Amino acid sequence: MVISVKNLTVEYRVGSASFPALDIPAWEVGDREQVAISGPSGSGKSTLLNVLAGLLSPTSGSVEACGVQPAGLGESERDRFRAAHVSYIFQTFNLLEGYTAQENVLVGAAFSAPFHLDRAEARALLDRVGLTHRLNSYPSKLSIGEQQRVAIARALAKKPRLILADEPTGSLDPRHAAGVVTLLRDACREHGCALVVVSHETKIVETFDTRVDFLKLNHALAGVGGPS
Amino acid sequence: MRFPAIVLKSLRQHWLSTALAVVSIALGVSLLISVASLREQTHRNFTQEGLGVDAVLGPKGSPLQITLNALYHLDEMPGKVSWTYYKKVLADPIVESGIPFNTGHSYAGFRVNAIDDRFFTEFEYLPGQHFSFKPEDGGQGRVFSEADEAVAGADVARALHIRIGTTFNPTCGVNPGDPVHVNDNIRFVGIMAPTGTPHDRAIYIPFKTFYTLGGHGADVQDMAVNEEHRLISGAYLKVKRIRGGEAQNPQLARLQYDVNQSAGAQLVIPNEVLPQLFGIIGWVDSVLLGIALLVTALALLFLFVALVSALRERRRDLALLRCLGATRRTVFGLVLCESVFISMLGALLGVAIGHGIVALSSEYIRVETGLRFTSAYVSQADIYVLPAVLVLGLVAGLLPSIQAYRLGVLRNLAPIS
Repeated sequence: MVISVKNLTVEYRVGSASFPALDIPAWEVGDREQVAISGPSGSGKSTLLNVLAGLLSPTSGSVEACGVQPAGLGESERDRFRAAHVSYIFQTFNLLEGYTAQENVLVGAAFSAPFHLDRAEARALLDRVGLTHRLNSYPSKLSIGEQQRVAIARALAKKPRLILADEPTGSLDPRHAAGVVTLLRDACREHGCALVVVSHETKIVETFDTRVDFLKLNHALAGVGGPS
Repeated sequence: MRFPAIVLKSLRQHWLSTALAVVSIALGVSLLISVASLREQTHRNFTQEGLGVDAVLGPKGSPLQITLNALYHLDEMPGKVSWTYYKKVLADPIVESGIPFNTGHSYAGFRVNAIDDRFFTEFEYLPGQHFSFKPEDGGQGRVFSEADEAVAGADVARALHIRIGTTFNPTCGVNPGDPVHVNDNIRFVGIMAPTGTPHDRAIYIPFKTFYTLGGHGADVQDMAVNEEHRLISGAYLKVKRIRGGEAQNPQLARLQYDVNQSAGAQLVIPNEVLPQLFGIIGWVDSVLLGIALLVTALALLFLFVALVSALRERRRDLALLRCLGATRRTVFGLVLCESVFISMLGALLGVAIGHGIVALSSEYIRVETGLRFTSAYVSQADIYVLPAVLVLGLVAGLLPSIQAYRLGVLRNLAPIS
């Protein structure tokens, strides 16, 4: 298993009041498996990804990702855990503005020592996402679709075991959205890494013919199987 | 992508504030370097072996005034010394030799000193260094041998475009409006090679010519031949070394006491007097140094402000780096390295500019004062400025680095993701 969650709850505190954000009794994702998580806004989809990436600590329960329990680690160990195992793709791509497309890919593996990515490998990754001609372009010169493809190449840069994608097509028009998800899924398959995509877009979720899980508001229900 | 590449990338990303911080530090450091260098070299220039003189025999008056007049061709002699008293001092067992001179004349703003011709053969303007007229040293012509001949110091010759054969009429006095010896046409027969000392800034005529210039009264004219009535401005004295070494003869203090007790003269030891000069002008030094330190401190404060302000703009980038796996220590080191890089680049640039300022001003100072400065001089500031700026750069970068260390990843990504 690449992800194993048991009795996970997350609560946000505002002053003395606490608000439940997530409640998942059990949830698993296998090696190289590709899973879409769908649910309405505020259902805790992004919160789940943040917990899996070690960016947020759960209130209770256990979360194991890539054989590691991020919640039990210190801040630096969690940083190293991300550097070694997990890549994160955001809705707004979060590319570094002062870096070219190639440099954005290179920085994706900059903290994953001893693994090292050289320029030729970064170029190959950008070639894989169809951006060979955009190696030296800065994000401000790239279209939104191109930026997301750079983000995919950057996510693949350190050869992670798990890629977490939070609304990766949220900023794209439907035509480009389907293409980007297909690219992401194909690339993950080629690189042998598991993929968890969070999306509230039905058309995106429908492309996951293998498995889609649905999160209800503030607690989870696992719906294993094809989209319904 | 390695850590140094990420540091450079970050600096390039906010190049304007980086460049401004580098320039402001360079400005402060260059001021510090140039002030320290000029200050130390001035001190060295004024204290280097008393410019070849162990002691100056001069009239009663201010020892500083005598030193400035005899060695730096500034100010005026406060009186005269009798030739007989000079001969008496010369006969003292510890006095090796003496070179009498007369000051008080000038030409085109430069002093015209009448001096014994042994000045050109025996006098050492620096240890082992004699005046030269050899073309290979930059000199021309020869020492004067006739009463109406003169030689020019290198700076005078250059400033007044003097050539061998050029003639001039000396002014009787050193102030504008003083009368000119219109009937005394004196011809330059030699130009001294540059020495880098104030001796380059004077014109020299034969010792006795001083008395025989037209316009001087009969009593002065008489001094050329009658030694009993002769008065001189002063004399450079060389004192015998003890045991052949370089140590000052302890008997010099006794001779100084004897001369100073007399009614007609005093013995001035330049190495004792010149530090007094620095005592008088020392506050100017301190103020200049203080201004330079203040500018450097302000530059480092600017660096601090620039880093803090850049950090505000970069919170998203730093959070993203953390998300990609950079540890807190990495982002701490990133900001600190930027601070150190900017500080050290500014300091190195400042050292180079500071030496450039010394190089540019040294020519001006040499022409104006005859003192020689070199941009290659390594001052105390050169030794301490780099480690000091390194430490201050670390201090300036510490708070922004700590802020970067404490940066919350989700809080700074959340509005965008």
